[in-house]
Amino acid sequence: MLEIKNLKVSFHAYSGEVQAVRGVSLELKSGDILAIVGESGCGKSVTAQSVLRLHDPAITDYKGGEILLDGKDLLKLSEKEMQEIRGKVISMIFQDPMTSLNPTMTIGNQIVEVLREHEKGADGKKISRKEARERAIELLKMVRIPNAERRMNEYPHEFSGGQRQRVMIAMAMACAPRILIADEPTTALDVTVQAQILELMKEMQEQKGTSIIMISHDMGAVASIAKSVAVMYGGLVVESGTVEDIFYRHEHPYTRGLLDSVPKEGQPKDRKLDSIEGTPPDLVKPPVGCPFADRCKYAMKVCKDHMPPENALSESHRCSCWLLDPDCPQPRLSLKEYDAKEGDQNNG
Amino acid sequence: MRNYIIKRILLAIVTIFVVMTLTFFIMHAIPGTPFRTGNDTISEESLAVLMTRYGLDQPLYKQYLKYVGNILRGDFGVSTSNGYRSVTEIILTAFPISADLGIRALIFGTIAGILLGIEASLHRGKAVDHLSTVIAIIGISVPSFVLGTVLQTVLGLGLSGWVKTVFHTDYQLFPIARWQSFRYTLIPSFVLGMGTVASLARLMRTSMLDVIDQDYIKTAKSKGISGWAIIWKHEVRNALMPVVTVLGRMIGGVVTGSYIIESQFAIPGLGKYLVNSITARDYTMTMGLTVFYSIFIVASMLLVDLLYCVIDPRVRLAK
Repeated sequence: MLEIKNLKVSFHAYSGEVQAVRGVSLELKSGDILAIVGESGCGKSVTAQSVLRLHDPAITDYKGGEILLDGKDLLKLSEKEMQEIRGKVISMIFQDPMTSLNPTMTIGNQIVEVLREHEKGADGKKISRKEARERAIELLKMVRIPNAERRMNEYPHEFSGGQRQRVMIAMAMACAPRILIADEPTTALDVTVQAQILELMKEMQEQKGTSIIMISHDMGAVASIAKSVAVMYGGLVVESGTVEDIFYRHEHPYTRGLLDSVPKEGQPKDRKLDSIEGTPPDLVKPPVGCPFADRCKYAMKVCKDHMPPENALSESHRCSCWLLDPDCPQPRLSLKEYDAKEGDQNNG
Repeated sequence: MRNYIIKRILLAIVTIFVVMTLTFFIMHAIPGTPFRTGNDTISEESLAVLMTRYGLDQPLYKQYLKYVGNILRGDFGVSTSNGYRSVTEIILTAFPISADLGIRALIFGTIAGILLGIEASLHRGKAVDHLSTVIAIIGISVPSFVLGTVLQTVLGLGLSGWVKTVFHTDYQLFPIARWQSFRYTLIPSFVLGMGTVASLARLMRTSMLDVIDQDYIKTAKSKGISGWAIIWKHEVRNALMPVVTVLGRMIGGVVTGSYIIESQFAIPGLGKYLVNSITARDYTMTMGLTVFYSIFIVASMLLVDLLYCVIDPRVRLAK
């Protein structure tokens, strides 16, 4: 349904051209929940926001690629055509519900606004204010805001963080979009509230059939909600597949590092959390080869000089790593086997 | 909310009272009397008679208590330097003219300043933005009497001279001075409003740029709202808040502070009375104007604070 093909996005900053996204290909199937994971600055938010073209056009350059919605390239649409897609076909919720709602507008009016922009009333004309208000109350009830009628007239500061994110979801779901993009929807929330918000999103997907792209660096959240996962690093997708592929059959050292850095149940309290040493590459001067090579403990010479090709490991599973190359000295060894071997050598 | 308003009004009354008391004692501390400020030729006998007649021979605290009593009864006394006309009457005739000029200037300054600021923020780094910077620099650094003189010369004299040679009539689109019809108000209101335009344009620009980067603007955009609706419904309203705060102080300043422009354009407003009354030791006039101005300024600030509650819902809770 939504297909991103070889997308390249650059920003013009004082330090030069920041190549935030350097050729990303992703596919969102109808009814799917696709998670894009990776650390800060890997290009995951940029990729997602490019779908709605939310970046400031003055400094953003879509250098290449296509974003196809049912075969239509969103990057080629006029601003006016994009407005009809935003909020109606594809809508979005953001990381910080504290700052994502207009502080001087009532919650009700903010929901009514999106309905009046896109929806038609019973008479086929633009929806009336009254009808839009009724729909907005229904939406607030749907996301389980108590006393919806009364709270319509309240302002964002009168809501808690979790409630605001619910309001954001109600607003995003107002026109029954086919795709919902959630940019780190739980990062700014309490852990207990996080689970409720994820549950709510899952419910929306199941009841309304909305496909979801969720951006996150929280592997726990990803495991609980996603059906497929794309791991991004340095402006590229390094590994993608179903949630099982990524959690149980991952082949990329970076994916492994991400999963290892999640604290595990039963882990001794005094044990330091695993982390990936080093810092992400500077995207003003991106590396020629694999972006992860500098931090990868399995890196070979070829990794620094040449971009690894994408290897198809199964119908769904893709991974770009030189370790999977047939000419690799120890081809087709899983990372676990590598580590075991390395351990043997050290012991022996 | 009601308690808040009552509290603010009580505080305002205290403020006015303090201003009045301070002015009273400072005025009386200046050497001289209303009847002898310098080398006047008045005789000692006449002076003594006058001082007794107006109660100025009494101890200062008695004069003060009497003055406060009179004010509370709404009696501002007579002006010794203006043919003993009542202060209330002078204020009532001259203030409407000052206020007229001030309000015109304020309306022009506010609208032009805000629009210029919005335009500049929407075209950051482009010609409009640079133009607004130039206007702001002129508005802030060029004194109003210089700007006034230039406009009087160019638009008043120059234009009417040109009209006369070309069309052979004496019609003046921009008369140089006096206060008679709409045409007469144009240059003085423009000159008086320039300061407001300058500061509001800068403030609005900064405030807009701040708002444009906010997350909720991205939310609005992601909802498919058109560019104009985002600017007016989401950006401008939020950007107006700091402007409203400053506006409170400006209303008082602009409406009352037009002495220079009033003299330059021969406008019979209140400004000249204040300055003249101080040099003439006209206690009642100075006091009357001070009390009047302080009521006016305090009230306009109160009004702005209430306006703030209307614009920013977050203030309403903080009772």
